[in-house]
Amino acid sequence: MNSKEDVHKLVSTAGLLLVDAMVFHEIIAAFHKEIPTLSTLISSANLKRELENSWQYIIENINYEPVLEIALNILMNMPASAALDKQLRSLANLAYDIASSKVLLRHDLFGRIYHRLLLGNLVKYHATYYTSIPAARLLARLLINLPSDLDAGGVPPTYNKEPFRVVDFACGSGHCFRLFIRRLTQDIGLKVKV
Amino acid sequence: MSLREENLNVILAELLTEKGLKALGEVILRKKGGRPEPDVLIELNGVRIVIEGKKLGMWDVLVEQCKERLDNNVCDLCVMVEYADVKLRKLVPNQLDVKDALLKGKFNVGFLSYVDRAGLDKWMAVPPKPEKYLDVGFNDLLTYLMSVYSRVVKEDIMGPVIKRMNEVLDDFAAKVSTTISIERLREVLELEETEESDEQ
Repeated sequence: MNSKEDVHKLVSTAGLLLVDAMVFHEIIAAFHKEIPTLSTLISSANLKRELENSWQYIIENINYEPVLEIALNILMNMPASAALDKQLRSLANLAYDIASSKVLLRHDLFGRIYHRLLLGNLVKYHATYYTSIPAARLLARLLINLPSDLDAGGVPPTYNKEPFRVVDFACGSGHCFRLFIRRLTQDIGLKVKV
Repeated sequence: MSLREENLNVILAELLTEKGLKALGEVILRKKGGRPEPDVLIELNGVRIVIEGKKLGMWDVLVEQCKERLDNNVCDLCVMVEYADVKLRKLVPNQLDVKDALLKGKFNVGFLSYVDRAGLDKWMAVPPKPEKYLDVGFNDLLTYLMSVYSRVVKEDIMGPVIKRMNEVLDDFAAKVSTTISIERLREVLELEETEESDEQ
């Protein structure tokens, strides 16, 4: 996997993970005043170091290790340079524009982008396939509406007289779960604990 | 008008469903169930449409309410209706009287969709055009709604965003790949090339 195209995709994937983490950072900053916002970070002299410090702090003191750890590792393994600093600022500006649109964030932007932009040859390494939102909605609907042993009349609901459980063995971004929970809460009126 | 706006909204949604939306596909009408939800939500082929109606002079409130519905992902398309001239001829009208009044009434209507709220102007440099139509009858309202629905389902909000992301990530990859160790990056991303994966 050392062809120019493969290297390009690999670095693009790293870039996408960084943008993802930056968007996430901006959302966390809205709830934790000790975390600087992206615009504060962008205006700092050393963006790479500021991001590393912030993500380290979030992982150690708040949470979100699964999201930020890989991005932090990517960043820490990239040697500092003027070119990298300039490129990180481009990524941060992009992340800022995405984070400022609530609607974009609610349409599983990163899953769709990952699928459309980057899968290509990399799919064989991850063995992943992105389930589109309409397909996930259909799956959720079939699960609830097709005749089955699901009894949603009580709390907790039961399936075949056992407490009802849902497992997604191939859970990725979690939108299958999310849409399934929405079906349960909206169609059946269940109060769901996640 | 002695009838509550909530009731008018529900009956208007029923009329829109009966008189036209059903022709476009599967329609599910959901009425408020005690939760903080809109009065009525129409699900048309999976597209969630909320109808927010208010008496004359409440346009700004309607716009804000619709923005909130879209930003909170309650719906994909929000219809704003100002009941400009809906005359109920009886003191205690039944449902048929209300339907008749709505069919003969005049409305100021507007539409906001998730496309408008995605902030595509940032990505395309084309500001969204807010739609508002004054003093329209029921049939015009239905026609506008059907046309806006068709546009919403065709619109690909991801297209411009992905285009720009692609450009930024391409540039990132082109400029950064020469300055980093690819082997190291592959390890960080936990990508290990194996014989098996090559064969797949």
